[in-house]
This record gives sequence, C-alpha cells and structure tokens, in this order.
Amino acid sequence: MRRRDLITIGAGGAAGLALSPAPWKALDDVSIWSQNFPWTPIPARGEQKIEEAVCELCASRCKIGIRTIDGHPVGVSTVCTRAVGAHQLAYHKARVRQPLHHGSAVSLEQAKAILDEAVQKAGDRFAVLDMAPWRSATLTAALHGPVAPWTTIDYEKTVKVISFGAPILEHAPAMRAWSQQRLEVIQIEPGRSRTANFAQTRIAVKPGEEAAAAERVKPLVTKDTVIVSAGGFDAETETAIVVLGGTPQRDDWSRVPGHSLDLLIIRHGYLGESLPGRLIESKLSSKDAMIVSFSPFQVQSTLVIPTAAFLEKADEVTGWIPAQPELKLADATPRPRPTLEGVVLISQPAVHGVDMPLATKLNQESKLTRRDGCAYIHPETGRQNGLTNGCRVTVGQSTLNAVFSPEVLPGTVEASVDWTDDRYTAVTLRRA
Amino acid sequence: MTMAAKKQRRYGMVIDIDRCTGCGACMIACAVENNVAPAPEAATDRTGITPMRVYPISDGSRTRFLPVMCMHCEHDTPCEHVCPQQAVELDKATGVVTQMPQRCLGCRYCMAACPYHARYFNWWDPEWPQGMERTLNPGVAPRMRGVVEKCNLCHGRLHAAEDRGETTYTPACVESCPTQAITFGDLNDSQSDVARLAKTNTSFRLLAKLGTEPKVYYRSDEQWVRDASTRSGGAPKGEQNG
Repeated sequence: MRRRDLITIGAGGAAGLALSPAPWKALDDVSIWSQNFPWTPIPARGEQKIEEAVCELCASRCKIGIRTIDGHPVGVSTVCTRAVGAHQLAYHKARVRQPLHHGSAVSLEQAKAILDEAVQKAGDRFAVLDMAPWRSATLTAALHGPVAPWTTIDYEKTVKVISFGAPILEHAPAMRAWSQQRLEVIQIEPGRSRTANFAQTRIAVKPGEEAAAAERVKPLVTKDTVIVSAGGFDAETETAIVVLGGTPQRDDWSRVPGHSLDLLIIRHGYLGESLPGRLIESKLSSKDAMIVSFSPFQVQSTLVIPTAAFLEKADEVTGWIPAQPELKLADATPRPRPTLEGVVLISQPAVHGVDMPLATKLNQESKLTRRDGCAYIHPETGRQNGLTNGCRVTVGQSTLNAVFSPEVLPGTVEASVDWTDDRYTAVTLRRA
Repeated sequence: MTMAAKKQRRYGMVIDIDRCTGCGACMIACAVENNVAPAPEAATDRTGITPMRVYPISDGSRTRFLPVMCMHCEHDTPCEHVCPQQAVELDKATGVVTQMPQRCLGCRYCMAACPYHARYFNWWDPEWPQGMERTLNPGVAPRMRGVVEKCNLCHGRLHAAEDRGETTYTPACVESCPTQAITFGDLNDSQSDVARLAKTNTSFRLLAKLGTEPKVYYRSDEQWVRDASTRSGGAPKGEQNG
C-alpha cells in the first residue's frame, strides 16, 4: 500500500463518517446518558392531598397546609422561614438516630436502664424542663397553667411592643402585623439586629443595662403595650421585665434552688433548641449530675434519647420508637386556669393527628379560648404534629404521679408523650 | 384555556423593599419548591445553588434587603441571545424566560451574559441526605450536574394552574413571604395589583439603563434605595454591608 492510498482511505473514511449520522447519534446518546444519572432521585408519585395542620416549630401555632403524597409530606404551605422546610427537618445531618450516652451510641434498652437508674437514684432531686410547651399532652401544665413566651402574643390585637432583644421581626405573625403597619415595635438591645433595623424605634443600650433602659421607657408604656424580652435565663433581666407589667406571669427558672438537682430531664423543641450551659450548671448539684435530653437532634447532654422530629412519623427515621399508646379521653377542663383534677388526654385517630371537627366540638363544649384549645396525639401513626389551635392538655394529679414514677417514666418518654410548661421554666416534680 | 388568553399574559412581580426584612423565607421556599439539594455549610456559587438570593444594601446607618432572582428580561434577553443550544427561551405566551436542562450543554455563556448574576451552574451531582428524597416536590424534576439553573417563576405551579384552566398562580417565594413584600401577577392586566404597583413613582428596576426591560420591579419610598438600583459595580466605599 502506498502513502497516497493511506491518505485516500483516511480522508474518505473521515468524510464518510462526517456525512453519516453516527457521530451525531453518538453525541446524542452521550448527552442523554450523561444527563440521566440513575442516582438522580425521581420524586415520588401518588395521590396528592393538602392536609391542614398546626405548626409546632414555635409557640404561635400557625395554621399550615401540608402537601402529601400517599400520606408522606412533600411540601408545606406557610409564610414562615422555619416552617417552609419543616418536612425536611427529620433528615438533617444532626438528626439523632440512636440513643447517645456520653456521646457513644447505646441501645434503647441500655438507655432506658440508665434513665431508670438515674430516676431511682435522684429521689426528689430532679426536674423536668420543657423547651416546647406548646405541644400536646401537657402534664406539667396541670401544675402551672398556660404561661406564654413572647412568641405566643396575639399580634392580631397587639398594637405596641416594647422588646428587650426579642427577635420580634423574625417571627411570622409579628412580621405580618408590622408590614401592615398595625404594630409598633420599640426595640431595646445593644446590636443592630434584624428587628432593631426595622423597628419604628430603636434604643441602643450597653449589654447588661437593660434594667436601666426599662426605667427610661416607662413613659412609653400604655395599657395596650406588651413588653417582651428575649427570654433566656437571666433572672435579673426577667425581673425587670415583669416589674414593668404586660408580660404573662411566668415561673422563674430562678425558683429552682441552685445546686439542687441530681437529674435534669430536658424535653427539647422540634428544632433541638439548646440552653445556656452555665445556667443549667448552676442548678446541678455536682459535676456528676445527669442531664437527660429528649431531642430529635444532637444536643450536649449526658444521655440523649431521640424523639420524632416535626412531621415525622415515629418509625420513619428512628425506626425503634414504638407506636403511640392509646390514651384515654376524659372530661375537658374549662379554661383559663387548669386544675389538677381536669383530665384531657385525647385519643382520636386522624390524618396527621389533626381532627378539626373534634377539636371544634371539644372547644365548644369546654368553652376553650383560642389559646386554650385541645391537643391530639396520633395513636396509629405516631406523628408528632397535630395540635389544634392552642391547647393545654392536663392530667389529674394521680396520673401525673403515675407517669413520673420510676416504673412508668421511661415508657412514657419513649412513647413521646410530651410535658409542657413555660418554655423558660423548670418544674420540680415529686415522685409518686 | 384559549391561546388568545395565553398570549395576553406577561408575568412579573413587584418587590416592596420597605417591607422586606431579609428573613430568607423566599430563598428557602424556592429551594424546597424546586428540589434544590441542600448545600454544604459555607457554600459558594460553586457548591450551592440559590435561584433566589437576598442581598443586603446599606447607606451606612440603615440596612435594606434586595431579593434578586432572574429578572425575566423582556427585550434582547441576554441569556437567550447567547445560548447555542436554544435551551433558553422567552416564552411569548407568558413572558417567562424558561430554562430547559435537557438541552443545556453546560457552556455557561448565559451565566456570563446575565447582568444580574442570577444563574447558577450545577457543578456537582445533587445529593440529598438518606431518605430525604421522599420529601421532593413531585411537580419539579431534579436537575443533573452540568447544567445551568435559574428562577423559572415556578413553572411547575404554572403548568398545574394551566392544567386546571387557570391563568393565575402563586410562586413559592410569593406565598412564603411573611410580610407580603412580593406582589405577583400579569403585568398586561391593567387591573392587577402588580401592574398598578409597577407604574408608581416609587417603583424601579435594577440596571434599567441596560434596556433589557426586566419584569421584576422593586419599590421603595426611600430615595437612597432607588439610587442604589442604578449601580452596576460594587457598593461605594463605606456602604458595604453584610
């Protein structure tokens, strides 16, 4: 073969290939292959529904719509930064999927044994702290009644708020009222937070001088003024706020004697909110005192027992949380002040735990107000959402004692029965 | 729905800067609605995708927030002009600048052409934490790596509305805004709120001098905010924030 033949064959082949559909077909196939990775997920298909529910990510308990595919949430219709991705919270990388003892994974049986032993050992020297008192199945509410943190203020009626560092304008109902120019915000805090930036009046104070600032704003206080603080556990600041009036009465964390607790049980909110460590430590009897946290997410505690996240079916992520036990329906308690004898635990199967007709019926029968509605637990699915608009479920003293007995407490906790109280309040409970 | 009804539409929005508190609900709602995978911590333009992004601006003492997404330019749409694949198209029926990932070859000419930096490239495979695939929005297909993404005015919701025979719908960012700072609608409908607000003396558009006729309007009663809209470079010294 001559050199000329090689060139002819090569050029002819190249020209023929270029004129044929082969390269274009190959390019097309490569394009299709490279853009259809089998690991790119395909969204679920199925029957779509919009379920109404009540958000539990903060105390406002806004009505939200949950879009579901075959009963699984795929979207949340809301006007809130927190809640708009609420159905994806359960898959956060900080999600706890197994009990942790000193940071190491232990089995549920081991965790129960550790908790049981700690309860036995602590005697009366233990307390329960609820970080999300707006949930259902409240037990400690029976002792102290509804106490509202700043997020529970009815912004539909409030016209003026004096806020000591509370992030009012990061809170959807308040933002709505502010944007419609129905709410005046006077913000007192050292930094230029988002709320301070948009408040009609901003008063800059040095950190720690909030009490002095409280004196300065007294002339601004009218009978319609609501005064709130950022909360927390700073007893001095809290006292200053309460003196000015307007805030709901709250049981102060400072009532718990210092260095008095051998065991502190914390029920965290659905976002896994944490507490200031130094203030917790000031109540513990020693460095060996035990902190037990029930939380969907990792928190700093001696023992962490995972609970279901908001909108999460109990067995979807954790796998080991048993189904909700059957709870008994008892007489509704007239509000506003609950009594120890009133028992309202409701067991009513409903989609996502919400049964609005029943809620309405019970509200009417018991003459509950908007803030004091009813609560539901879903006994079949174990989903943790599903409160109606505002509820405190209370139990009788005997039930309370029984629930907090060493024999029953681990099982109760395991079943995700919630305690409630003011967000910033710890209640010391005596065993039966 | 008739074709005549379709052709009359020109979707756009007016964002009230005086109401925006920069909470970010629109950004999160956008990501959730459009199946954008969670970005790693401290994500950059290379590792995270934000079809809607809220920028802070300041005059030194006050801060305001500008939600910025695709402006859906009406005239000489820059990204459409440069796309060699015809993956970008200004839909004459709705006024939406659409992006078709199936056609996109990832050349990123459109990103260079966009004056608003409102386009993002999928450098990596989208990855969701284990089990989270179950929460994906069935109305929007996840995109693959190697394509450009941007705001498409929630076309999944638009198609769903059209399937119902309706011409009005609400994008996710509009729905989620706690202060109702975003007004969305048909700019061709002179009776609509969005058309009325777009014509007020306090409304403005970002980089209007380029003549691309964006369909996203802003409004503010404050002159310094309106002045900031004409800047095409970085903020002047002393006015940077965030």
